[in-house]
Amino acid sequence: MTYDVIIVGGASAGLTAAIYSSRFKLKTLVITKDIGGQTLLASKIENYPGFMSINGIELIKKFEEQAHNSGAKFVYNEVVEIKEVEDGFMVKTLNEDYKTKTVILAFGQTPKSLEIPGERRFYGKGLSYSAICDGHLFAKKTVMVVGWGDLAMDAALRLCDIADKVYMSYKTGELLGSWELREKLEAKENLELIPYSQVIEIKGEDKIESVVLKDLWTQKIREIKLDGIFVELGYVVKTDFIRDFVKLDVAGKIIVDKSCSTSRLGIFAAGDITDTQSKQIIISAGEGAMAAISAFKYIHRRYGSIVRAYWS
Amino acid sequence: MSLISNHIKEHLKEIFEKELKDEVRLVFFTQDIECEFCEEARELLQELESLSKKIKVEMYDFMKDDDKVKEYGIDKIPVIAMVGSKDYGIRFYGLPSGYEFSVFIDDLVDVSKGNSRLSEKVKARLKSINKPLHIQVFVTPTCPYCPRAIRIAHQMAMESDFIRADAVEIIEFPHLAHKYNVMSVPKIVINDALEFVGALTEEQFLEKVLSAFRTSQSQIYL
Repeated sequence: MTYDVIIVGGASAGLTAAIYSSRFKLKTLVITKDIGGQTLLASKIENYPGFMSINGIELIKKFEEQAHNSGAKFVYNEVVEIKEVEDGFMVKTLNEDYKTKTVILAFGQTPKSLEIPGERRFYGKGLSYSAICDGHLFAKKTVMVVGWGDLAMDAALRLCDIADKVYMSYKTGELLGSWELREKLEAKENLELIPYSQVIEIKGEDKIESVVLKDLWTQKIREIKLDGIFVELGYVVKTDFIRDFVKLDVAGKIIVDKSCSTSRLGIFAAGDITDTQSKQIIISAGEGAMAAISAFKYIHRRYGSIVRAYWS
Repeated sequence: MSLISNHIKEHLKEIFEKELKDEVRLVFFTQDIECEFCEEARELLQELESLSKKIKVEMYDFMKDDDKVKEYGIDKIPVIAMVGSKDYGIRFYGLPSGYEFSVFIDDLVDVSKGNSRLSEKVKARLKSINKPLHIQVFVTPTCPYCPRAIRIAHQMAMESDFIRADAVEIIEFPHLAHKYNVMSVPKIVINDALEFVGALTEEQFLEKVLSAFRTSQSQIYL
């Protein structure tokens, strides 16, 4: 069976694209590892039109329900390759291949990792990418936050109220970002800042026991005993697998035009994965809709059919 | 002062009116002393009970009501056993607050209808399980990925008479955090043997459950 639209990614951009695409009566499949993306981490969203204040999970639930109700099908898997074939594209996941006329890429950003050997081993064993989720588990313990921006400062603030001791390790000389957060951090007595430092190794058996830092000026090594490490280095786009498939900008984001079309006919993109300037839920949703409308128009131009008015 | 805001109460009343089919019993185990959130849990349940005639709260004492403790297989409190037309093995250990609250409501609706929302494929494969499987899902109230893990575990408990699933609010049970080395949530432990971290998809969760089942099958009891 050939789908009309395969949407890669099930967060605000992907789910909106699914709603639009299904309502056009296009055979729509969403392939995603999980639902919700970054929106899930927002406990209070007050700038999404239509809701004075709503929590991320609740908002995504509504998107998801609407996508299901509109007729979109879902497969929970990871897309590893996309190839152009005759009359469309082949989207390959870890276990199955799917044929489609068009693809909408909407798989957003993922937390940046430390990229040191053995990192994965400690995930769930003291290494976390979210203080919001896992901070509570380190009451009265010693932890480290790796990062220098608002995300890292926010994480450190939370942890200062939970853990006994918090270290902050960052490569820069100063923490960058909100003044307010920086001031609040300065008042914390159980916080130690370690500027110009880089994590080079995590040590431990069944769980994290210590971390090894290198001073970027003196090259001196310092080992610190601790129970948890929170990596708050921001987000990256994992577009390596489509590097030669669509044009990417210098940061790896997919270059799109105003209609959310990429450099390859029949491939569209929406949300944080694109090179558009600002990243907000409403913008991702808007691009999702735009990408779906573009896919609809493309299908009808290329595969011929009565072009229905899409606003009805 | 009520635990559930009036606004949410109105919303819940509507949901219960529309969605609840059969009666659901919220069987709550507590005790008089030394239980930090027992009071809040009791209050929460009573507020929920007031919102629908199909929700009934039963309260038992962990120390005194031995027969009930045995009947429901309770080993720690506070705990809520969610029982519909039968006891599916769905348990909430700790106060279902934060993101867990909406899981509680979703579970309530499913238990009342006697029907889970798992895919047909997953339901079919669960039928192969014919030995007891105990799934524990360790969560915290502020973890956004935890609800999905609890929902899948509880729905599996609904679909299989051999599976029982506990949602455990780990901050209220620090000794369990230590015992199971919970450093990230959600953490899922099956039969005290197989464990994994993170919200997996239905299919991936199923693979873990089946793997735990196969391991339990191959164990030789001397």
